[in-house]
Amino acid sequence: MKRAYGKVKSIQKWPYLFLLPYLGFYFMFFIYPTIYSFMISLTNWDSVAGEANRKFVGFANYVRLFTQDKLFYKSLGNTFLFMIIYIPILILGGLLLAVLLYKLRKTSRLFQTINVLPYITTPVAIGIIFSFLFDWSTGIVNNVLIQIGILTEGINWLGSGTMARLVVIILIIWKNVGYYLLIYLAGLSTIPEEISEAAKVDGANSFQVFWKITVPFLKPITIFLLLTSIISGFQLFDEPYLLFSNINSSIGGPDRSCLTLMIYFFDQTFKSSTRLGYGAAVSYGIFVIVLIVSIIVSKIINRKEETEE
Amino acid sequence: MIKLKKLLFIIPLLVISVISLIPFYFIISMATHSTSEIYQGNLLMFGGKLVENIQTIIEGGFLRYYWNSFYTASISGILCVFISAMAAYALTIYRFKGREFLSNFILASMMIPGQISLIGYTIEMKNLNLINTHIPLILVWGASAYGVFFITQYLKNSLPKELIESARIDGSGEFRTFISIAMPMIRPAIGTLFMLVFLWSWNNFLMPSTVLTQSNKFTIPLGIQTLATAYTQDWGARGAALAIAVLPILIIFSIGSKYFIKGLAAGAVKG
Repeated sequence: MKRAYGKVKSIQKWPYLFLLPYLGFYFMFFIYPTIYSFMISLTNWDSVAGEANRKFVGFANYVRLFTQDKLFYKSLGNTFLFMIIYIPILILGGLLLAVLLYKLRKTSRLFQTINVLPYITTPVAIGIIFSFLFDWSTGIVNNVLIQIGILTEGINWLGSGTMARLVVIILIIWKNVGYYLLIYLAGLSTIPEEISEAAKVDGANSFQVFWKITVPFLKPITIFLLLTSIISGFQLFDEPYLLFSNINSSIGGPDRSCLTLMIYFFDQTFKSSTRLGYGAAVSYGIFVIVLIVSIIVSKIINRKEETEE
Repeated sequence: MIKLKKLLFIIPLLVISVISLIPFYFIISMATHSTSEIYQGNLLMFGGKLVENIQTIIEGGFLRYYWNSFYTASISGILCVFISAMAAYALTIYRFKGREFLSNFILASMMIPGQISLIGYTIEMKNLNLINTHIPLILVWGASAYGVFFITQYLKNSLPKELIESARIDGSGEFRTFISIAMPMIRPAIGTLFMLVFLWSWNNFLMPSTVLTQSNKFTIPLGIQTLATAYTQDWGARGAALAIAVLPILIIFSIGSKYFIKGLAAGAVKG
């Protein structure tokens, strides 16, 4: 009896030992630098001026960020604008394509693989590829549009604010629609077939089945996609950053029309200026906004669910 | 009638697939042309300048970037898989104080955007003298909440607890049980997670651009950026750089798409 107890006790330390490496890495390389970033955000540390000239400034960086920094608000507005346009298109497009693909079981894997290729392509490369495709003089897009007679002369896609934004949105949709398709397709396969069969026996047409059965069934997936695309929408960086590397333009494109929050954060901290303190405040500012938006969106979703029930 | 209906399904899917592939086609085409041919604008047909273009970028040091990315991504993948599997094993097999809390804590930390720690992390790496090494790019993969979540899901469904019990009765030590019984049983999950982490590490641009300044240490994304700005007049070479950076990975992932697609979908369907 005593021996058995001793054995159980010796097992008891094992879960902690198995978790130790994860927690060790997590505290050393995430929690510690996160707290450190916060401390830095309370200083005026500039990496060129050096650590010796660093002073504690309290919440001055945050006050400036939220009350005076026009570029921060501009980048926040751009980021929101992009998301408001591309998230509904991606959700709707991904859902419709998934429903179409679900009916063709045999070729499904091939279509999935082809359409997920843009999603797994190095984002830096995508930014540059699109800067080629939409180049004013040599770009394929202008060439094709002129040859089929839609345009008489090329559009300077990356030279004007509105057009540049359009290119960014096209890029994001091109890159992500295959991923949305994939996730919805996985969701569709969890719907029990008997339900839609029974509805059809009761006289429902395909459209009714889609609207009354498929869409409600996929709701958890839609919520997942919505929340993760909001979080990743705030991270938008590589593609718009590289899109303008080809032409001489200010950071974030013409009129800074494609300056996203992450580009602004990166540029302030490591490129145009080297103000680590202010940059850290920007990163915390972004975090707070992401948090608030996620909470609001989940509240809206939950309230809707309550009224529906 | 049935055939017509099927065609109606296939056409939009074909259109979208062609759109997905077109940019890759033009990149390959660019890689085979000289700059003046590209300016003339006929990229529908392939040209004969592929070898010259590839030579140009190899002289530009592209193989170095390739190797840097390859070994960094491989070690990141191995580190992440091993540590995630251990943590997931602890959370699914054992009942212990704090289990519930730790599970929720790891799940919640998936929602926190990583760049919040970026400045602190860069300074930390600087203080540890790790700037211009690839170690900072690897260390971040030691604690991946997604990795733990992913393997936990798989363990719950596929590892019978009786198997662990009987191994214990046979006198197998806890760590040996984990290595010789649990790990082989979750091999598909390990493969999928490795592929995902490899890809994320390979594609990462933000972190390498804060910790790497010497060009011989660059990874592929930094290399692409460098070449794109270095060869502003040589469009063929830029096309070749993009093609070589992107296509081999896409081919490997297409071959392994069965496991890989499962991995991408796992988070959504279970959560």
